[in-house]
Amino acid sequence: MIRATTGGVLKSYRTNLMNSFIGMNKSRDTVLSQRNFNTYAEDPAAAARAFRLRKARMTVDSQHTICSDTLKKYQTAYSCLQSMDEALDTETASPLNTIKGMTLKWLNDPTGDAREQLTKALDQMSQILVQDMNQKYGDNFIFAGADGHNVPFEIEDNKLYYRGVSVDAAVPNVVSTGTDAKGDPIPMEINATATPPVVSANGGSYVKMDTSALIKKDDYDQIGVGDPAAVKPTILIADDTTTPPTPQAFDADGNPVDGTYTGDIYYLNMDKAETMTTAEYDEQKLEAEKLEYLKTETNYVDIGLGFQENDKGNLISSSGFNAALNGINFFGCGLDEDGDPKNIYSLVQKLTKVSDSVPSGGDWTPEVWDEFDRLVGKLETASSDFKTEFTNMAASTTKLENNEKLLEDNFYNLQEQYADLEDVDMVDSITSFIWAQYCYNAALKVGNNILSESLMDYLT
Amino acid sequence: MGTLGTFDSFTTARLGIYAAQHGLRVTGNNISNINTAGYTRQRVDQVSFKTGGHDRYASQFERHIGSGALVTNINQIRDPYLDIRYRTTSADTAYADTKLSGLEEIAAILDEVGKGGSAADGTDGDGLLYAQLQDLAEKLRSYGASPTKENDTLVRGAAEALTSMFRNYATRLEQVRKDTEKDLNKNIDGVNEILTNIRSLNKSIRDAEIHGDKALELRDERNRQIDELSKYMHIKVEYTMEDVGAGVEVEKLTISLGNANPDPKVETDSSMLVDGLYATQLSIPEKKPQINPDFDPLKADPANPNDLKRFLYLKDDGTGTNKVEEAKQLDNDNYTIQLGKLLDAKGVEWKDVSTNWADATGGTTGKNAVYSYAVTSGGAWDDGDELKIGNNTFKVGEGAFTKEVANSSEKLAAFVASELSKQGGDYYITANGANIVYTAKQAGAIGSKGPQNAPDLTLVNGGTQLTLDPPVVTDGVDSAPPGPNPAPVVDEYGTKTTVAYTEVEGKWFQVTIVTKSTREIALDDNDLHGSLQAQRELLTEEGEFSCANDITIDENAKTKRGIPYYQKSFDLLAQQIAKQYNELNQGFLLNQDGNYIDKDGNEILLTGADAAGNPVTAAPINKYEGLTPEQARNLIGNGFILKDEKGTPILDKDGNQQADLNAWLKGNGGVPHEYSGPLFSNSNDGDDTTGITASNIDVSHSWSAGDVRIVPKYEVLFNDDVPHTTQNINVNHMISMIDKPLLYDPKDIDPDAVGSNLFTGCFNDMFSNMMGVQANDARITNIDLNTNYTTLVSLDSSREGVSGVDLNDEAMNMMQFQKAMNAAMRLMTAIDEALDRLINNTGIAGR
Repeated sequence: MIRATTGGVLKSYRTNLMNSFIGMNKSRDTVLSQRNFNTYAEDPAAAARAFRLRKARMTVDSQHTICSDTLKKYQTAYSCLQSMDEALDTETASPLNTIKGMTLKWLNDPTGDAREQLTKALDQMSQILVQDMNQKYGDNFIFAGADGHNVPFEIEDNKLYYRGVSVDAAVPNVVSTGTDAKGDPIPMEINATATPPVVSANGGSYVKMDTSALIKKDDYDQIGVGDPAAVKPTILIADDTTTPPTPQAFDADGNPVDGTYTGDIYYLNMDKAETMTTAEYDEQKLEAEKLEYLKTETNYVDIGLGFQENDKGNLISSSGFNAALNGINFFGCGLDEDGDPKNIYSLVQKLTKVSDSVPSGGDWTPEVWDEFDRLVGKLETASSDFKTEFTNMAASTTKLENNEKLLEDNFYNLQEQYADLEDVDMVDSITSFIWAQYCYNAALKVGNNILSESLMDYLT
Repeated sequence: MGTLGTFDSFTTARLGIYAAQHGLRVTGNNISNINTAGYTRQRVDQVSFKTGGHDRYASQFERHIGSGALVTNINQIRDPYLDIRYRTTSADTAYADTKLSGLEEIAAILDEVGKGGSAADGTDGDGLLYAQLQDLAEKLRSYGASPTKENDTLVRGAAEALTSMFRNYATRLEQVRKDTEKDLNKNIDGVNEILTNIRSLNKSIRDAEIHGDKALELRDERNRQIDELSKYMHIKVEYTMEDVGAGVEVEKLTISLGNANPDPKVETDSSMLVDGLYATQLSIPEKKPQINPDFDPLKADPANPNDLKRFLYLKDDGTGTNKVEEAKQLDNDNYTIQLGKLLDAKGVEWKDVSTNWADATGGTTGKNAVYSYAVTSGGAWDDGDELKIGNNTFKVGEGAFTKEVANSSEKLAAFVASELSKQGGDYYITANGANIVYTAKQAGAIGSKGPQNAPDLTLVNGGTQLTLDPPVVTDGVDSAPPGPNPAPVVDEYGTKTTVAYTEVEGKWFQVTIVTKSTREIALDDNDLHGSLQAQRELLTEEGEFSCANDITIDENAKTKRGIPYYQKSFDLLAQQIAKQYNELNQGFLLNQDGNYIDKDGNEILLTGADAAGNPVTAAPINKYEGLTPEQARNLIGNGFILKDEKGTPILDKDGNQQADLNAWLKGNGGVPHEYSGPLFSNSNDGDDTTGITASNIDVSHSWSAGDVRIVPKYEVLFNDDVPHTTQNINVNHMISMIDKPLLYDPKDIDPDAVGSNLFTGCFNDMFSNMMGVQANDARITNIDLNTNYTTLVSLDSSREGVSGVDLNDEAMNMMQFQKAMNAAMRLMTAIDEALDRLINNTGIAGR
């Protein structure tokens, strides 16, 4: 600049003064707002990160609420199950207040003095167990799986139903010709009303599998040999168009076999075998399927495990928490290989029936005692299964507790993280403000001198 | 003037006083105007005055002495280079400043840093819309944990708050757009006023200059106006000299656009704004001409006058034109600015006429007819004899008709010719020796282009004293041009070229007159710079939403983001939220296996089609497994194709059509859930989901009325034999949707958009991205502004350094001129005393 003119100096001064003022104002804003940046544009990277952290905090907060709520439900469920556990067989409790204690007492009561009382007590205990399983947390039934608004367990005619499905439902074990693509047995349909009964595609009946109804072909063939009066049992016919009709051959396990089979051939004694209509079979099968579904029913909630769906739109199970407590998983359901119920209530009811089969005041027979003892063994298995589920549930409760703590830690960590990004270092910001103020004051002072002095002031 | 005149020294002193007085006046003027905006300091131009020539009696020992000082001019001190740089930087600064202002207005809506929440619960700074999206997520999680009507109402409340925010943001963005539009129109008026002012000032300065006045103050005002104009657009200012006749030249100012368009093909970016006494006016018409995307005059075929590359615009029929008024008119949706014709203050259009003379080849030169009569005097004329010429009678001895004249054939011929020539007519009549010569005034044959009749010299009546021979005749010849004048030609820019043949002094010339005229010009997208362009870009730029035509006009359109970009981004986000949740809430019932069922609980079967089109066994349709390829083929083959709102098929990533299963299910037994229905619509008055934008998104009427609720699940267990009242599979889809990365495709808003992936992320990330885009743009613009502003201040200081008034300077000048004046006055006193001694006291010795 060759010349520094009055106007030029003033313009330059005004600009610099304005810059100084802006700088001071900005520093003051920083001190007052206590934020490193007050607009996204001041630090886009930090602002974007801070928003992401805030979103994570809001999400964690929301997940924490869900987690806490679920945990409380589990804690309530835990109390219920603990109470049931005690009622079943906890040693610390009075033996006569537990089902196990009562059954032992029953088995060790040869005179049968207390049998009837024990039977009633067992019945009442089983009722109490059902009531425990119908506990509510808030507005929802705890052990109702994904049907929290309805009472899960109902007793009708001493039979227990879970969400309208019999807890003892099972696919009937019928004679099958093989398995389908899913591995399900393909029942062998017969015409039970035909004489003799014959295998028929549209026969309308199935035969229940019972190996005791099988008769060895050789034995069958020997009937009447030397004893013309002997009557051969009615056996299942495979083809009644032949003469004589062709019997349906089975192996020793009751599986239908054809002419290529080289092992021992058996026939099915229809006088002993039980049949059922296909409709009955389908109905029972459907009930069993329902029970199977209800056993595995899920109801996932987002407690901060990722909560993500796969490409097909199904929730990835590990990313959510299955909050559904299916009562039948604790209480047991279905039938075992012996055809006995797995459900505790049903077993107790069966025990009471066995007990009731002894006339009042009469002594039980060894058969009754054996049956009772056998069922007590099943009850112990069911109790064991209950304890396993209880333990799993307790583990889930612990998991929820840990998750709740983790979410709390996350919450505070996230708050800390975005605070680190957003919050100012007050020492630094106040120092900056004081310095900006000092510069501004100096600029004002300089301005006073600029305006006052020129050669004009020295002309005489 | 070596010899000193008696009073010459007084003149020297007087001139010194005058010069000093001028200096003081100029100094005073400078000081007075120290605070006048745009004032340029003035300076006295003075020269040493010296008379020229040599004295008649100059002594060889004499030396020339100057005669004082002359003030030749009062000048301004400006640096044109600094003006150019200042004005260029001014446009850059104004562009960045205006753009930043617009972005800050957008930021006032979008930027949620430090907003929202409450310090009491530690949520301050969570944002508004940003936090509301999370609030919706939180309410959905609660609904998922317990899908009750109460929780549905809470979700709806969160959704209502969210949609209300969308509408609020959209309304505010639209308000910013409208305000910017008003500002643009106001600025256009401002520019027009400046252009008119400059034109008026040009005229005033021109008039003053013709009369010898420099009109410095008017120039200052004009410079101030030009500085002001430079904020609005990038301009180029030129000064040339204009011949106004009589050897006088005056300065002429022209201002044109400053070639701001980076596209070398574009010429409109140097259009004239002011040309001396003419100026244009800017306007934003409702219609704009259709730009020719192939315009590239440098590559045009020289032999083809209709080559499309020559033309700026396209007509309705697809041919080209350079006239705005002839072009196909389109809606002016990008605020194209049009320059009007260059007009003077009275509304007369600018014209530039240039004439070129060239020798013509060919043509016939015309010849004048000549009749020569030989006169013979009898030699015996005497005083009193009469000679009759026409009606006039002359007597020998009277006047000029002397006996000597009459008796000399030559003199007599000269006398007669002189008298005849007074009569006028088609001929020049002269004497040549003793001949009277009639020369046709105009070339050409008699009766054709020459005289109407041949001369008939029968008027001389002098008896035997005068003999007149029959004329010697040279016939006249008609002139003929080399050819007919060609018809005037008007080129594509409206320039008219007229060619004519002219015969001058027997020679044919071809005269070419080129008349250039003014025309309206629709500016290209990037012809302007400065605040006008910044406002246009704020109003029009759509970034990734730009269509192919936008890219043709401006290849950088995809990276320029104005208000429409943010409006459309908001629309896209609102549409995405509505689309995803509406889809999730409008499904058909499924059985426990996830297969679609009819009203009786039976699985709906769908036949497939193999590659040859043959039917494939019908099978259930599983929602999560999706259609089999055969089933999809069958549906597509039967017209069940997924389409957008406008009926355009939505293609998958491989570009294949997709089957519209929902449409098929609707007509083939699919059963909607009892709560099923759209959650969001384009108005709370109904359930219409078409055309949802940020400005109209609302909770659907049915949801508000309770007829529709969030569908917790579509599954029906075993034909509804098994209740599952708290099942939440569908709600979980909705919850996971909150954080699901989604593709935001600009084509969903504008099918013509060139961008296909604006962003991929969840709802919150999309909004955060919008804030980030705005912030980065603002940040870059702010840096740009600071850089330009610093340069501008520096340049302004430099200009002040050259042109500004400085009090110290002026104080010095004041003292200097005052001392000079005092000295000149003292000189006058000294000379006066010397002369007094010489006049009154010299030669009185000895008295």
